[in-house]
Amino acid sequence: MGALFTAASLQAVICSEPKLTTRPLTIGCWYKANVGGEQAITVIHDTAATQRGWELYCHPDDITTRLTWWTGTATQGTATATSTRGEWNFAVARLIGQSSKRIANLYPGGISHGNSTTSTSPVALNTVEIGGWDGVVNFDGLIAEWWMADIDVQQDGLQLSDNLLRQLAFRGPWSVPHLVPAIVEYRSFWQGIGSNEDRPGHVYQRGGRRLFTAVNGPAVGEHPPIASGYARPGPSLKPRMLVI
Amino acid sequence: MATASQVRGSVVSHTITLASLASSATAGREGTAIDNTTDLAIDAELFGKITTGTTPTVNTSIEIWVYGSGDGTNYSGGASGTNAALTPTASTLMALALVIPVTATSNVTHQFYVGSVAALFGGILPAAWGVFVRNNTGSALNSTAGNHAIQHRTIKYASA
Repeated sequence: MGALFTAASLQAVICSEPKLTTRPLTIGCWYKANVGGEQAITVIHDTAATQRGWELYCHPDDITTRLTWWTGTATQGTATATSTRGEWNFAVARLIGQSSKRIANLYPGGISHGNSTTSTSPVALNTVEIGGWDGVVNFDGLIAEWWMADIDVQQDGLQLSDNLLRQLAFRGPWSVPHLVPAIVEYRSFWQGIGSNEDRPGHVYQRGGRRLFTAVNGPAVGEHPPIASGYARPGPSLKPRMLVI
Repeated sequence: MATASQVRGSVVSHTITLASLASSATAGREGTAIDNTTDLAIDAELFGKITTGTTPTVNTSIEIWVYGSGDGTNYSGGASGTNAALTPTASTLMALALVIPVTATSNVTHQFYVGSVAALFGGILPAAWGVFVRNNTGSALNSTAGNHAIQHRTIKYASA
């Protein structure tokens, strides 16, 4: 089941001690956003008075999902991809280098890619937030199978391979061998939302435990259409057959 | 020393109307359920072919789901167990077996092999099961019935 966010209730999941905030960085997740307004899927930001940060979000045009650096007053260098509201999409956001950020989005109408070569120089960031940004631009819908890795998943820095995008979407980040050692955070939102509900095989945190706090009660909802063989961290618990 | 080996059944063709299946993000076609309450096969290998229609939208897909039943009467995801149109109550109540990405080329036949149906259900072949196909390619599937096939073979184990 995915994490069900209600924007009006200012729901989000927040980590105030993130391990990963700098490039290179890849974020992947399934999301299903309802129509209406700017909705943050994932934000990596600071907590200064004028907040700045990386934002993966559903644009108010209701037909695109975007990856941008927010300077505190404006976007800077936005990568844009087509998306569909009210249906499951899968996005991979890549912060590759100072002048390279890319987004790939799998949606019911196909695959869309966007990139930006605008130079960005982010400040030090101290918060990872899923489904909102400090009480604004809150997400309304579902987010599931969320992960972060400290490499660029497309090792040549170019447009994400469509096959790799589908592999990540339907089989999961744990099915991609070169990505596995680079995964820093993974939260399936299958059975729980915050760290107090973590379950083996559905949460992974490299290098120690970091608290992800569910704010204002996001619930467990519908899960995206992942394949039955979707890979998860930890040993397989599937039954084995003994033939004698 | 005894040797265990597979015993494969004959190829069984599913009853499911895929010719001209319309494109939809939600609705699709379920096939008639396969009853395993008598044969009690350990597993089944699922395979077949599906042919796209005229100029599908590139990078869209055809989804193959498998529904199950523990009692042979009530089927997951709102399936009826018959060859019929279906909009699942929640497709995630079924097992997503395969996603077939398509190009914009018309009338391409995709041969597919899913393999173990039991693996889709945690290692146990359901008492009854069937296939649900959803075409989300932007155009109807090919109109010739013979250009589509959903098939399986049962698998049992013998010891000799």
